[in-house]
Amino acid sequence: VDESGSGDIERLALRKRIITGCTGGYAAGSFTLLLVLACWPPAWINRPLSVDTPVTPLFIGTLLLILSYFLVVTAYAAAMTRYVDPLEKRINDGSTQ
Amino acid sequence: MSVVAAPLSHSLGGLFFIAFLGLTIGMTLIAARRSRGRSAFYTAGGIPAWQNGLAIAGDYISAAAFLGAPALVYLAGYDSLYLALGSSVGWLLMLVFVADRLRNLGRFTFVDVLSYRLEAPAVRVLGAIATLVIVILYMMVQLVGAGKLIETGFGVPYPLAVGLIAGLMIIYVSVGGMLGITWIQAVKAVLMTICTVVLTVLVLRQFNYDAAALFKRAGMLHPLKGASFASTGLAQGPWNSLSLGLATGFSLLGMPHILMRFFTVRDARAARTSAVYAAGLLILFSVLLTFVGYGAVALLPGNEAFFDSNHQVRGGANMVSLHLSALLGGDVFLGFASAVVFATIVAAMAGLMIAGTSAVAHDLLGSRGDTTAARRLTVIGLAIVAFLLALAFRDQNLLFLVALTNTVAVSVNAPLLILVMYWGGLTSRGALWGGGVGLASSLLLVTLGPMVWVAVLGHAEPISPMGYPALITALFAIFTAILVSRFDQSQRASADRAAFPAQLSRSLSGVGISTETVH
Repeated sequence: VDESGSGDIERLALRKRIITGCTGGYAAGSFTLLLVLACWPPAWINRPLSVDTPVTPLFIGTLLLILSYFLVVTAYAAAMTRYVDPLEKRINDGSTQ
Repeated sequence: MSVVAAPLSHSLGGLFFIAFLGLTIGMTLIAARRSRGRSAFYTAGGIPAWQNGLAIAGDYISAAAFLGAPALVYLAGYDSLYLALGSSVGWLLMLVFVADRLRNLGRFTFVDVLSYRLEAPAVRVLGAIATLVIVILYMMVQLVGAGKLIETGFGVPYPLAVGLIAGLMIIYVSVGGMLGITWIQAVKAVLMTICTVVLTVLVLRQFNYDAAALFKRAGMLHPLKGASFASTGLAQGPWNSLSLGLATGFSLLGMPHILMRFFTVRDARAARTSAVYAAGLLILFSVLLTFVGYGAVALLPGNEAFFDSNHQVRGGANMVSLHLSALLGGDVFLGFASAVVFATIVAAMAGLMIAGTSAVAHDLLGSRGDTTAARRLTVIGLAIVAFLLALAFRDQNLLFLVALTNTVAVSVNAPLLILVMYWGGLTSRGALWGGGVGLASSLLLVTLGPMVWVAVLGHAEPISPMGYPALITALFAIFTAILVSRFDQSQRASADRAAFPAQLSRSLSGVGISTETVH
């Protein structure tokens, strides 16, 4: 596959696999877990925090999870810019020369 | 203060509405001067990532989101939240697994990616059919919504309203092409964001910016009381809820009009960046709409103008966002919000129509048949089909169509796209069988389920208990594709498998697309 023999494409594949694996794994895993918890909720997670505070741990957890995706998107973009883009550029520059 | 009976006929509402129409037609004409030829029509010739990100967000944030998400909070409380979470996750998955590989492999549509190493004619026909099912049904839902909005807003007869909007779509798409639509969608995304942020601030201001106070009052006034913050089983039982949640998240990966947007940027990096912009905006949007929904629960009760004699929300629960706009922002903000809703419908329909056009003119007719005349005829044909369906289904509950489009997207396009990009064992025969089973089972199970068999056809009991069968149909499609591919010993299968390493290399690095970057 890597005809140049530099190993750049293998390195690129590995880096992409690690970054996308971590990000995608977090997104898909946390979402599936939350869905399971929402569909078969344990009593403690579905109960209001107190008489004065109607929100449940499930509700707060869901909002926090949505917000955490902001951070994940940012971290993913930063990681790709740092570890993938330069390598991708080098491979593309090499192929066009 | 006016109620939402006739928001657009109010002078300021009408002014916003006409201003949006003028702006979009102007943008379409400017775009027409810059767009020449097939590439420009489909891909806008390489637009900046930030513009594309806004346009993607504009494509995805439909009126159903702005009106429907707060309505679901109003009706069902917490259960609407995992749908919001689903769309946020869908964007993350799109960003991570699809955006850059798609850009590196395709040219105009996601069907290009499917046929990169699989047998072209058969796979292209399957992808085009799935695209057309999704596009036509979605367009019909949007057209019915827009027709009713214009009918109630301006007092224009429904058929005329629907006809006018369909005509507007023909102008937007056939004259402005992808560039014009991109600008319209970007403007709409900005307007929608402004509208939602302002509405959220207006809600929180009522509680001195104390979210806990808002939730406490919502908990007291919601029909479910404290349970409005707990999971109660929105979609008729846990399996249905799980299926609906998964469909909301994963269907995004199979939406042809969204996937098509990744071909409008120059390279994979720009595709990723635009997905980052879109994901950020949509996640923000999901959170804000939660506050708007609970704001409606906390603030609307006690205002008789928004309720009918049966104590039901006037115009249905979907109107709570607009009622809240009227309550907190007066007629001016109500007019603005109504115009934004219309803009949203128009922009979403334009995106759908160009995706449908690409399915017919590019995927089915191929490069020889994909002429300007063919594209224009397709646009007109699609508009006529959507118009006729919108007339026929005017008074139907169209919820099942949304479920059907999501189910088809998650059972045909999404699994095939992921499998073809990530699994070298997928063969043409496997893809055809998997996609065919996904499509057939989606149509069958939605028809036999409660939303069509009971709600539309009037039977007492559904044959299939699941209203949202995506969990089953997607698994059917994936296992069929894998099984058929595994046992496929044909010559073509060997060629399909042998082509995977080269495809993988290109999808990772983008080597080879440089000559096609400008399309």
